[in-house]
Amino acid sequence: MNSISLGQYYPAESPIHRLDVRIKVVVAILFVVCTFLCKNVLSFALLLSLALLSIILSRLPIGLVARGVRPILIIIAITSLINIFFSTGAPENIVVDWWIFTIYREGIYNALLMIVRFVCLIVGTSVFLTYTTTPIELTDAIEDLLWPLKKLGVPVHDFAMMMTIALRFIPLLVDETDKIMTAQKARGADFSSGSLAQRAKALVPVLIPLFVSAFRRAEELAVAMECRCYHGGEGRTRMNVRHVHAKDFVALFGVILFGVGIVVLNTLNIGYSIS
Amino acid sequence: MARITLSGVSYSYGKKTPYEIKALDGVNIEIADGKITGIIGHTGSGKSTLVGAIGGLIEPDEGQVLIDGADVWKNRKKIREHRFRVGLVMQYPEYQLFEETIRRDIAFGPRNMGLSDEEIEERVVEAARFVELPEALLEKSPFELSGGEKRRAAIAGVIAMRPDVLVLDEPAAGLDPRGRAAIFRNIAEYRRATGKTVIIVSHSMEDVATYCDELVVMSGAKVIMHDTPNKVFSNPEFLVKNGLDLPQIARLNMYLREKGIDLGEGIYTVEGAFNKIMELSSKK
Amino acid sequence: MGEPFISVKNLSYAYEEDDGRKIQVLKNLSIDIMRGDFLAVLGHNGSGKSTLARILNMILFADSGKVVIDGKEIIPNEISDDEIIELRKKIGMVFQNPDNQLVATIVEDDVAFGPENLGIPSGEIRERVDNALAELGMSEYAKHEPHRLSGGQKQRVAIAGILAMLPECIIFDESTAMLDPKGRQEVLSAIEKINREKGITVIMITHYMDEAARADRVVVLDDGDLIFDGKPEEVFSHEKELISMGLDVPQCTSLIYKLREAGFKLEGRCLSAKECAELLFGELKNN
Repeated sequence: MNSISLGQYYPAESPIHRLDVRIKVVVAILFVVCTFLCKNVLSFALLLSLALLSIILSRLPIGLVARGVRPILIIIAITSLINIFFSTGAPENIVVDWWIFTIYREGIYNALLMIVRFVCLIVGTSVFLTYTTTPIELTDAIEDLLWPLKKLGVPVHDFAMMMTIALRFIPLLVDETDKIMTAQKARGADFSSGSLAQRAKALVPVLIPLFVSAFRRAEELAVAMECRCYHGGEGRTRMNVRHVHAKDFVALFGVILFGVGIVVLNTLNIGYSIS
Repeated sequence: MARITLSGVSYSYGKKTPYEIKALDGVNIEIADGKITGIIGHTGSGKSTLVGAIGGLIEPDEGQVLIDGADVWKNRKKIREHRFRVGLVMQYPEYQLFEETIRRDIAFGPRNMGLSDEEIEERVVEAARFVELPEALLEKSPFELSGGEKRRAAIAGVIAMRPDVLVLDEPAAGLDPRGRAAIFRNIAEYRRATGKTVIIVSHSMEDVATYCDELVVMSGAKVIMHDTPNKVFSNPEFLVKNGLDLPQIARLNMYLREKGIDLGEGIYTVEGAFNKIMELSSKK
Repeated sequence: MGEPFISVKNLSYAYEEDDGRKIQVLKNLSIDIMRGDFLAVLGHNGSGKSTLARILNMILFADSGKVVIDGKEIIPNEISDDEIIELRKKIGMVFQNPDNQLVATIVEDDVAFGPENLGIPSGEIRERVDNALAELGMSEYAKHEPHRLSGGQKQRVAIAGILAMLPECIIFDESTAMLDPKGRQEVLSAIEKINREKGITVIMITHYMDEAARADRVVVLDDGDLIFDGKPEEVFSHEKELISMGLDVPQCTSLIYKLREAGFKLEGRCLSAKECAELLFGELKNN
């Protein structure tokens, strides 16, 4: 019952775990941009090496990272098949020509690059964000990164607080939904048969107690927070003050340099490209 | 009447995740017909899972749950009928109340059974009487009731299905002493009036010692003892070793024995101890 | 004796039901609580004990009467928000449901919540959080998620969160009611430790007599009236009245009461199985 966990944080001591979260968010964004900048074999090879390097640095089990790719395997498979069968290329590059299928080397090449791009996308975001950063750190980082908006009157702190509380209570409410559904099933409620309208109606005995409970929890939490002297973001300090260290800058400039390198490769047209 | 048997029942939560927990491990048990059986064990010993399996709300990974010898999961479409026969009251059942009035909420189960309006009304009134909810409260919204009243209304919602077996998971948890006493008074009276099987999960050794005819002791997802309270509480070392408390009177008896005064076996209720002490002192 | 830390005089509070009926929750209640006291407030549900706690924490304000905390009188509508925060810093509160008072998704972040609200410098917050968690034996869970902890552990995290604010007094509002026996013992030991070792004033609201027996002083409320106020053994000698108020008398205690009624002498404290065994041994050894 207690198995609901938000996010997939994997606790470990690694240089990437220790990076400043704000830097990690920026690095992850830049990494994603890089995957889209890559255009030829050399740049993809570099991208793959960078992804591998970050996995090694993060000390995550390779199996765990691989599992992260699993949910989109279907998408990867379909797009590669489309690429293989529907790409056309130069007549001298035909690899297979059988019945209605004509496969060109360009198709295989595109499919491979597509796979690398997807894998790097997942690896980049999971290594820098989901696996090495707790949701709460992420919330804090976003509050910090959006800090300039405070000046424009956007209640950044309040949004971050709401996010934090949501993250805390979602597992509780999921658990509670499960309990209420079981309780109503014990009284003969049937959630799995009947027409769509009947099934929707069958959810009323679940949704009403769930809302009631959510409101009760909200009220109790509000009182508890008040008793702990919460009075909004004004004058609040943080236990974990983030300092950007030299290593954070190294990571940041590393990725920027990498991106610049890719762009240079692209413009100079260096690196094996079939088309 | 209904005979509940579990044979080799195993169940795990969070299967195939790093958090997999085995909650039932090859449980074999037969629940005494027409008696009050208490299920005790420390938190996480598998008590709630056991009653979930008995109530047909948890499908075992292995083994069978049988009612009068028939496997309840044999025909999955008929599992609802089993749930009507074995009425399960979950922990903090007041959180399941959802209707506008208590009357309608108690009627939810009987209505799902497809009964006629007259029959439903008759059962609602009967169930409300068992839990001592006055007629006037039936028209109120669940929100207007006290904690103890809400709890009793939720229990009535299960009693109204007229199950052959009534199962209650921690029926008095979190209530104050008055609310607690009322719940147990109602259960004892229900059992007396209907003669039906009752199963109670509880943390309170005092409560099970006072109300139960048989006890099932759980530890580490297994049933480690199934006997009369008399026998179970005659073995304090075994209970303590398995993370369980003794009823206070049984502990008192143990201390007295250490000092050389033996009240004898089977002393675990106030009544029992009182009578025994009166007997001992009259022999003076 | 000096000035009481909390002084309540002729406090009354009522709320209005939807149908306009007035429900009097507290009637002319007067009580003084000294620094370092370990006070148990005993009463069944609806006896007014939680209302008293809420008034002391300024979640509610009294209809009439005088409440003085650490020399500062609380006058509704006059007291400023800053003054309220100043007082709440001194009186922490731990509630019944452990799930509904933890804010953060990581134990140590939750403990830091209070000090962060007070604007304490970061380094000092870290120190306070580490100390508070160590005090409650929860250091190894610092990086855990609260929803994976047991009830007793969650409640200890909640206490650590209050302790990190360095309060002078902590009110426990039925903080053990939803716990299993093991969790109850964990929390009770923590409460005792806080009072005995750190000298923090403790107000423990409960409906369990065996819990109240661990306090230095017991106050019994019934329907908003203060019925008894004294040492546990004094208060618990009024056995008949307590039972008629619907309080939970420990089994051993009620055995001794029955035997006394039947003519046995049995004088002395009888709140735990051990104490009762002593009493009975004295009586039965001559057989």
